[in-house]
Amino acid sequence: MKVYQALAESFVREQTSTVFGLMGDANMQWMNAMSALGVEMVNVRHEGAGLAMADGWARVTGRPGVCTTTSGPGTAQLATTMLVASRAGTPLVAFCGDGDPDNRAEPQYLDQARFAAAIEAEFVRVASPEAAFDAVQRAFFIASSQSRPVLLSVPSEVQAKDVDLDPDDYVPSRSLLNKWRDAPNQEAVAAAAAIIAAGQRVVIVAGRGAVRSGAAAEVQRLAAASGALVATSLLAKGFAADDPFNVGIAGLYATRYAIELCQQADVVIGVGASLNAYTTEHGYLFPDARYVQVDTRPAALLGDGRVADCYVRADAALAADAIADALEAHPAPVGFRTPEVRDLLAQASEDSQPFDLDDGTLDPREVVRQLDRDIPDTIGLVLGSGHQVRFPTMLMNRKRPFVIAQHHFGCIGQGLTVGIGASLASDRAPVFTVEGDAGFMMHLAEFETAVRYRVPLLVVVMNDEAIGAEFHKSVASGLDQSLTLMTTPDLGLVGRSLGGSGALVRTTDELSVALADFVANPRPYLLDVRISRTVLSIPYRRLWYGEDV
Amino acid sequence: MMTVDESVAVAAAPAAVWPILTDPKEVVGCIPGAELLSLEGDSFDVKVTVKFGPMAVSLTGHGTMRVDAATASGLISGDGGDSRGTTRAKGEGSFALAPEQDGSSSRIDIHGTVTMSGPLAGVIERGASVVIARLTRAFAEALAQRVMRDPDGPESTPATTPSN
Repeated sequence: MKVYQALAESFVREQTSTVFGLMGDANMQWMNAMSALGVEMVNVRHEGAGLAMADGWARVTGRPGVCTTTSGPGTAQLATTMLVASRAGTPLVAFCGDGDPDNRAEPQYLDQARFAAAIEAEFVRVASPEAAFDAVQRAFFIASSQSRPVLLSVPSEVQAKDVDLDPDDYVPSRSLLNKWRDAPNQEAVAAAAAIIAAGQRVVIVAGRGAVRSGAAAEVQRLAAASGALVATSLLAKGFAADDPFNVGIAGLYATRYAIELCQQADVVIGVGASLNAYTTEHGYLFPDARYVQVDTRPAALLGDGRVADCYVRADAALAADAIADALEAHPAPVGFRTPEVRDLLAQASEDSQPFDLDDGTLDPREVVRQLDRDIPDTIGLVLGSGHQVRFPTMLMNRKRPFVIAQHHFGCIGQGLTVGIGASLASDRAPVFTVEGDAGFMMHLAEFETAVRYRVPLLVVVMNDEAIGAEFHKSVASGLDQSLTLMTTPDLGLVGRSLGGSGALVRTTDELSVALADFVANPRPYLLDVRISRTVLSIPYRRLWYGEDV
Repeated sequence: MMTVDESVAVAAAPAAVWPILTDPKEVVGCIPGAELLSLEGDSFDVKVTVKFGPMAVSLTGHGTMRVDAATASGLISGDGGDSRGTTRAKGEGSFALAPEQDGSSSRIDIHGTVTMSGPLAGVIERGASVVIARLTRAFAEALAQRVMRDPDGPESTPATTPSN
């Protein structure tokens, strides 16, 4: 068989069912072979957007997402979103066709190895026909075991050769992975329990390690055994959201009341959380606390440069359970879990600061509250980046199948594309995204991709007709605000022009009608919600004006 | 670096204001969240709890105050940090007392700079200068109130530390 066929057989044996990408000379043979084997090919408008879709797919399934590009110019488009996937720790394999790696005179020449290094992707090359199986297996093994993206470089010349390989001999990478969860060291558990038992005011911070381990029940058991509040990192937003003592995200996105409580903590238990400088506000969120940290890494530093008082290297669920067991020898303290705290937490995320609204716009806080209320909790949420995302991040607290929050690489333009991948990953389940107008417009063309593949995605554009973060920073810094303003056309009309549904919304009634329309019949739906630039988010009020809110 | 520029009007004669303005105990008592830990000659140790947004951060530091009665002015400087030594703050400034109107009231002009370094400086971004400005304003108001409690000079009642 041809090498591109052997490669396609390998990908199928790695359980690849969807590939996002754009066809070109150096990947078209492989795409044809993949399609012939029943893999869904999602043709995108921009290779970088295809990688973001594979990223969203991977975050929902937990398995490596797959995207593809042709050589040189196709591959080079991956830069921003590969960096996002790298920072997000997303398992992903990018099949990148290549020209002749030694011929710099070729117009599409790109040094893919150096490019991969710069965009933080692991690099694997299919250097010879015989290496086809090994290279694919290694790419998927690295992606899965290290939870990171891999650029698989495949020269066209190698793809076109014949090779004598039997697909039945292919050994999938998952059979090579360690299948056992790490159990905690019993002495570490005892030491952790001793620290926790000596505390009166315990806060658990759950991170993505807790999410991936499925540790919600174990974390809640540990919280009950230690009288603890449950907080999350930004990336674990929504974890244990139904616990009445869940204080939401620790850090800048915490409510004022949650910050007051956290500052009283005498013990912090990180469960599958890195406890980085954002989560702990460089340690100032927990000035008097001792730290217990549960994580799977060999060792870890906290965000303020110290190490935890007790580090328990283990799977989140197993460790939380073991520590809760060890705490059974002690009477469970009430700690923070009092009726008063519960009642105050229930109202803690209210933000009632009045602002005068611009004519014909909505208060973004009202918009996101209505989204959370009107969109059923069976529908997953993907958040974008930018100033407007501060509102849903703080104010939308409903438990959902998934909430993908992303500030990786600090870039905008990831909401729509990650949302498409997330829906396709869950058998085209309805998904909604909330992102700003600048972020959405950056990849507007991919809304048409959602239409072509009938992705039931509601795209909520929080439209302030500006690069909002820069607008507010300009106001705070005395810079020229007008440089941040960018008008947009009626995006509802644009959505309909691209073959989908869409509406422009300037009132809460119009918003209600549009949301009901989508919920009744989920389909590619572009909702242009005009929001007032006058409303400043709580994080910005703190950061730029020092407000005690 | 953040600059402090504050002018406060006090409805008392300079002679009544001067003893309060030059007493570290009184001055620290007018800084919201500040506590005088020790005082020796013109140098003192102080603990200040500052709210950066909703987050309270305690800083301890050492300061000195030098006053010049002839020009009715003084210099104050100090530096300190948090308990782990990762955030440092340093400040210096001057104050001058001048008569207003016919000498029955006074004006205190305060100028200075505050430099912060370490992680906290990033946590609070531009908000830090707002917090410092707010703190200076609150200090000025507390000082004016303190003086007006004893318009004839501090000897009329014993000095107390306002509870704030």
